[in-house]
Amino acid sequence: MMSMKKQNALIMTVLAGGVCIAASVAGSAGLLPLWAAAVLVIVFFPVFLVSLGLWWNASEKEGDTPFIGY
Amino acid sequence: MFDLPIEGAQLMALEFGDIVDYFSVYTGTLFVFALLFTVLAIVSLPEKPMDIVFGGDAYYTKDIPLDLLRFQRFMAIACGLATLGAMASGDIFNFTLFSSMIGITNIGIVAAVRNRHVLEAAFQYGIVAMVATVPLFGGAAIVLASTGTLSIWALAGAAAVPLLAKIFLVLGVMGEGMAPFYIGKAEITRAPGAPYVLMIHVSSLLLFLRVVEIVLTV
Amino acid sequence: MIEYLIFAVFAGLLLHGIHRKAIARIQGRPGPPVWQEILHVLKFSFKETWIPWTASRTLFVAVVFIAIGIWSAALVVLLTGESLLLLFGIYMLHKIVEHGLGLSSGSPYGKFGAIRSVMSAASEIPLFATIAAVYLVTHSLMISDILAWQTANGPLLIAVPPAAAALYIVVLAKMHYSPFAVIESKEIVSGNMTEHFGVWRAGLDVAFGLKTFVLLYAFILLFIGPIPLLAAAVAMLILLLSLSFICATTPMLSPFDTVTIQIGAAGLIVVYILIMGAIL
Repeated sequence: MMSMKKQNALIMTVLAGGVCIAASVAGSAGLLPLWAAAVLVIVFFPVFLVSLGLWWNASEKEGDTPFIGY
Repeated sequence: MFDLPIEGAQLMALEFGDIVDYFSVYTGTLFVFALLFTVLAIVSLPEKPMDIVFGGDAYYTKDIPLDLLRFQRFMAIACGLATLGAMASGDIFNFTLFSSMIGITNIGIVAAVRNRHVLEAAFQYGIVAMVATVPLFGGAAIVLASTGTLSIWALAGAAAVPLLAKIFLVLGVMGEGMAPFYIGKAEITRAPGAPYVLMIHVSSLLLFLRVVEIVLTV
Repeated sequence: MIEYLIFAVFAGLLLHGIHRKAIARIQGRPGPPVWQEILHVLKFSFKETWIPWTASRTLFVAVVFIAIGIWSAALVVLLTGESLLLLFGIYMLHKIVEHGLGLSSGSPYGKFGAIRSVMSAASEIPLFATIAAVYLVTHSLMISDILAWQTANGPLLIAVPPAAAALYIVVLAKMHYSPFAVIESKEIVSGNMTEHFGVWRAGLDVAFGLKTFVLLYAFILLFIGPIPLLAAAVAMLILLLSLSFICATTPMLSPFDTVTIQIGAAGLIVVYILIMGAIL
């Protein structure tokens, strides 16, 4: 289950990063109006950053049993 | 009206006689934000507030009862809809109407919370909001009386609206929840139900941003 | 576009590092290396991350996305020369992010931070005064027009110095360790950010780095005008060091003093605008 989580985060990272790069390339090449490129980058940049973080910290092994005392 | 260098390019305009509902880059952005936070109020469940007893190790969590949650969510959605209306409206009277509706629903969001501080703050805020409707609608009335129209589209750039009407409009919106009257609201935010209480703040900030645009345009 | 964003994130985080270093040197401490804040973001993003049980889950995560999104949008607004009003709007929406951060966690410290963020909404009023003064002088709120005006008539810093002072207070209010930063002051742990840890905190740090870059760059663009990139970087650094000096030598104000000072500054500028409007 843990490795699934890691894989999903990786897929999200690649997709969002791909959209960001594609949108900025298309925007500067004139294939996409500048405002549309801007909106795409603004929406997908946070997704890219957060899923990148979630990808590289998702653990593939079982964690320790947390302390549930008191 | 979009030859005015104030709020960016026109995105859309929808005519109803002389009243034209429009989106510029600016109001469109505000509309998207109002929509975003309304959706958040619909989909997110409230938090479970922790209370700590100062000076000791004791703490406890509160759960929000289901009926309170439902009422708060209903009011938050109503508040979101009023905010959407205020962002999209091209008519000063409709704008003032949506503003006062935001004031009412803001009180509604916290009205069912059983906490003395919150209710007292809501009561005081309610009085300010009610009093503020006088300059708010007064401003709209002066606009109509002095120019013969309420359409922002028709008034844009004409400099026909007297300064007094603009001051009244801003005062009215400030009374619905901006500085310096928001101090009552600071206590309101003690209420549980983060996504709904957040809506109080969202609506009044967006309302202020819109009235700035209106006052600069007309 | 993405390349500007990534550059701005690193530049903003580096500015945070320089800010900390400068404060430390002024206070006679060695201080962390200037790239420490970049390392912080990496460190936080490698930490184990989950959502606290008491939090409003959707909102807790959504505010992090919104924080990064709005400041990315602010950078785009600056670069494309869109309306100054839009930048003002984004700055106000940052207030909602601060508020949402604190409320969504269910932690009492976060809640205190959120309530303080409502009270310190006074910091937006000087910004409004700035916009009014700039509009009176340049007759436009489009950043591209303001830049063109400055190319023709010289920096706005000389034309309307009080407006620059007002924006300076606004930028100062949003700096870490600033006398106005009551929402994250240490007596309420980390204020509204207390419960955002791991990746969430890394995302917030990125957003705040972007915010610092955008605000400093906006100040340079609005009041000094279009200058070459290297000169702009030097100007931003000087501006930042002056802010660091204030942060290093001033204690944290109480929430009420914060409101009083900010409203007082806004009031003075309103008087100035009225006089200027009467003269013009």
